[in-house]
Amino acid sequence: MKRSTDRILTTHAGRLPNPSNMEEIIAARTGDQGKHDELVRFGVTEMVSKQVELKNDIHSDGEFWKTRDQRYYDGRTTGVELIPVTVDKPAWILTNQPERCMPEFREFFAVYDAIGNTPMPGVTFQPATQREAVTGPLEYLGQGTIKHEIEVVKAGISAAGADLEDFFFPVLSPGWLSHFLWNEYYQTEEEFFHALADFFKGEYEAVVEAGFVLQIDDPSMVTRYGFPNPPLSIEGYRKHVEMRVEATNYALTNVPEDQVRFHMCWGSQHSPHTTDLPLKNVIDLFLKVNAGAYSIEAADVRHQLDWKLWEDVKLPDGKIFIPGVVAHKTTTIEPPELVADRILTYARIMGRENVIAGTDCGYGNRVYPEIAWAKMRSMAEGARIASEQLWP
Amino acid sequence: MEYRGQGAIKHEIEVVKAGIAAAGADVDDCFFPILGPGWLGHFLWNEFYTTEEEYVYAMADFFKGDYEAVVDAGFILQIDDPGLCDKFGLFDPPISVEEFRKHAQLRIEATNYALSNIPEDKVRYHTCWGSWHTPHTTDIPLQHVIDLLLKVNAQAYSIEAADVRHQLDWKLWEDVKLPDGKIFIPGVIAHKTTTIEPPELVADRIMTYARIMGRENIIAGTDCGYGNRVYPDIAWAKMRSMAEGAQIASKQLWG
Repeated sequence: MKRSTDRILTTHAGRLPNPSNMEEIIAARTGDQGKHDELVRFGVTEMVSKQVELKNDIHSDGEFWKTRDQRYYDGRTTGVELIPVTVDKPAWILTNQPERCMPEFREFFAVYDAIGNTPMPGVTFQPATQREAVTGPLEYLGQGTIKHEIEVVKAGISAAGADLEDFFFPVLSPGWLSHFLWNEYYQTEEEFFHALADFFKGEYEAVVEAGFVLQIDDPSMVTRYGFPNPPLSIEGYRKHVEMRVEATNYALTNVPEDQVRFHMCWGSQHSPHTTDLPLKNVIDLFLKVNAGAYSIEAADVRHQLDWKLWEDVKLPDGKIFIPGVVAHKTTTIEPPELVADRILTYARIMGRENVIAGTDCGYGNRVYPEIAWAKMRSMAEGARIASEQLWP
Repeated sequence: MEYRGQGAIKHEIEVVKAGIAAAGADVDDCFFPILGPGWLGHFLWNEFYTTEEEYVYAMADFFKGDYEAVVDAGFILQIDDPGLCDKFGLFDPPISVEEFRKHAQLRIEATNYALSNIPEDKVRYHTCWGSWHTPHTTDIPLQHVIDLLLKVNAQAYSIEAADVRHQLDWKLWEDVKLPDGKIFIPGVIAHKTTTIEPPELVADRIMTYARIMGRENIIAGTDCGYGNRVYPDIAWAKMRSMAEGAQIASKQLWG
């Protein structure tokens, strides 16, 4: 995994704004596989070129082509069905966000639910009509699928003339998938998470074998807090997280730590976030994930003081920290001087060679595309300013 | 422009005072915002006066009556003047910082002229970089107008300071001294994000300014107004967080 050896490197959380041919890609999803793949390859090339142009150092494919429909599951596993949503069985767990039940935000969420996360002209957000459910044993059969997807992405990268060494490839964690995938088969949560871990084991190994750094996306480490009704105590919640971290680590058994980065955030919704679980409650569990690098939301107003925790909790030797230095929860562009200030703060605490500048979360469908690009431009400029001070 | 608003402003003040009284609140605890001449100039085109100076001073004469009526009624007068900062990016073709400073200086002199009969300790001055939810990459850095800001004959200065583009502006105040007897009202919560600043962040921001300027010279404020800029629920939640953050900071500042 690349490290900031002679300057502060920049990266992001994975999802980028859509490529120019996104509508064609969506239309091709249910049709001819060859045509679909060619469109995705073209889109990846466009996303990679954009990242290079913005002086981003560690890239992704943009993730725009990913979707979790019946085809996604059928190509990977047995036991998953998409079932129509009912009143008592919603599409996903986030419907139970504690903030939604707070009387002081009722009117806000009414508007939010009507217009969606990012009100883009012409874009309407249809409520999900289907939910994903495990109704039988999960048996992974996705070796061919993930291999094929990786080939398409690699072709896009290579057409952009970029180097695979500069790429990470994000995949969900077992815990994060369980935000969207309801268990209606396994008797215990442990069995369910173990089955999910077995599902991802194959995907993780394929990604690393292909030469990518694997990024595991797991906002659920913090966002699930407060969901069970009645809510769990912090202690009870921590046990649940511990079980999920064990499942993630089990899925990583055959993957070297320095090929893995772990991303966590508090959910990308443009909402009040007053019920975000403070990092201090899970910071030790966060570090238990067998990853060489940790990427985390740190620029948003609710988490911009989290650096103080790292004055007491030591980042283990050899690890890399990727704090979010630009947020997606404001349209205003963080100036390079603020980006540099944030990088310098973490570099002072953790050492310059252990810090890579990152974003709070993915960008696609969360900010206007131009805003995403401007923030990444500012991040690169801020990293340059910080590097000048750190490597005088 | 010939001012004839004595009756109009007096009537408006009576209506507002009746509302305040009905809420059982004290006029002493209320400020009354009015535009600065420079800010009105954002919306009111001059197609009559031959020089800019005449035009700006005509607007100052217009406001002189309004300002005096507000203070006579027992209110603290707030002068709203985002024009000090946000007009810089609006010139087409763009102008230099030096030219802009001349432009701003004329408006401040006119503002002070409008305030000539009002004691300084009855006036607070608000400036910000415009409340639009936009990139704000062309905001003029505060360093270019910080000295002009302090030339306004006001006892208190309220300024955007929580938004990402201005949250490091506190560093300037380590070199520029807030004059003795003045009050500083930094924005400790922004309207440019829906996410609620936690009380601990509010407290941290207050503590930063208190360390530099002295605890008794700080009042916690907002970056700009809220109406039509954030969802109502979000505005109230931010103000609740500000009050709690001020309480946390006060405990640390007064032991």
